Amino acid sequence: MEITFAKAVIECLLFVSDEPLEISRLKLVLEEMSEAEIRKAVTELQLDYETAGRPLCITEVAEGFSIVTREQYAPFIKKLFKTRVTHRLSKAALETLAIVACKQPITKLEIESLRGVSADGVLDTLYERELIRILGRKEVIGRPLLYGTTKEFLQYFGLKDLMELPKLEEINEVLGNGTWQTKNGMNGENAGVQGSFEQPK
Amino acid sequence: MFNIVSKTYEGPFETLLDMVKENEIDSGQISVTEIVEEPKLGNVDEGSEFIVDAANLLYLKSKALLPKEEEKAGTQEEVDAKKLLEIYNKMKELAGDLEKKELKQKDIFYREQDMATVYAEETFKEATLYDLLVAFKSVLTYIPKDEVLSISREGITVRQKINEILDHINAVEKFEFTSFLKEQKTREHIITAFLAILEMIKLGLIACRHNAASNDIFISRKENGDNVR
Repeated sequence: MEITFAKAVIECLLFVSDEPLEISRLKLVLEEMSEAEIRKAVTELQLDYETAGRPLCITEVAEGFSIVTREQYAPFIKKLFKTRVTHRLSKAALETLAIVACKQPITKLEIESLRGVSADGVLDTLYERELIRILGRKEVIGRPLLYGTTKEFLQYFGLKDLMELPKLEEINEVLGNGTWQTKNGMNGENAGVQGSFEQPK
Repeated sequence: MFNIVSKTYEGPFETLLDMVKENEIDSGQISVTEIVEEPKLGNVDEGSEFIVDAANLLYLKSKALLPKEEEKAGTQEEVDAKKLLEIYNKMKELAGDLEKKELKQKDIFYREQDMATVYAEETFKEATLYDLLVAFKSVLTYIPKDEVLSISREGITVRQKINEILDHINAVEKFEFTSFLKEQKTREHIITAFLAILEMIKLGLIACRHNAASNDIFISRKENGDNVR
């Protein structure tokens, strides 16, 4: 397929899609192209939008690509969609989300032991807004639910992937060296069913 | 106030306690039995005082018996607390970053697909247990109050309900989860129906799909689950 035509097809696909399209999904349509070729076409398309000074741009978000409007036109769009109010997240929700993003999969108890307050309501809100999802259950007493972030989370904050979070690495460093032991001993490996008790040396 | 007489100490009990507390006397040298065996108690007040003091002494003695690692554990806890605080502060910073990003994203608009509602029937995804639970909960709160007055004698088993649902599904092909539960006569029926549906999903008799757009959960028959009964 010729690259200009491929670019046109990709543009159409991005236009009609209401969620970010991954390269792998574009590949399902553009069967004869390799993923590298598709990526190249997308990058070219991005550049075209940039150089032409279009009000739209192609952004890499949530592990895929999306056509979005540029920031400076926001006031007009907001004027059009006056009735659509999106509520911003509360401080508590943002903090909880930050914890989930770093330590996923994580249980409610682990979140609570970090924040020191109940996470019930916050988790419900985040779940409703599809920013977190249930990844499964932890095989400890009570089989608590494990939470993780969603694609919507990445899109909501305009992130390409989780690694883009700047503080993530630092936090994982802190978490990584030595055991992250809370008073409840609810850290991953140590939260065995027997409730193994480690005597500090 | 009363005096005690023992091999190692003679005098008021309280003074003894103070001395033990201040580590002037090794609590190991005091025999509790000696003290307890010969209480010269005059009245209730003295008796209660004696019990309090004796309990305190026992506490001090038992504390002395515990291994000294206790203190180290305290510092370990401190380290943990420090670490937790550090993590928490990092999380807070991250939350701040997210907030900035959120604010920025508020000015960037994605295409919104109204077609999603047009194709609503097709935009199904597998319903999760959580979806079902949320729907179930909402139905439970919906139950009319006067239901309390009627006590049904005949119980209904999950098995009966499964058969009932199978008949129903054969007739209508698919039905909506929440409205089906709401059609149930009593709370018992609702719960049984819910359990039956869960059981049927487990048995692979039915498929359960959640329409994200309209928030409806549809139950439909699985083709191969026809003759399992």
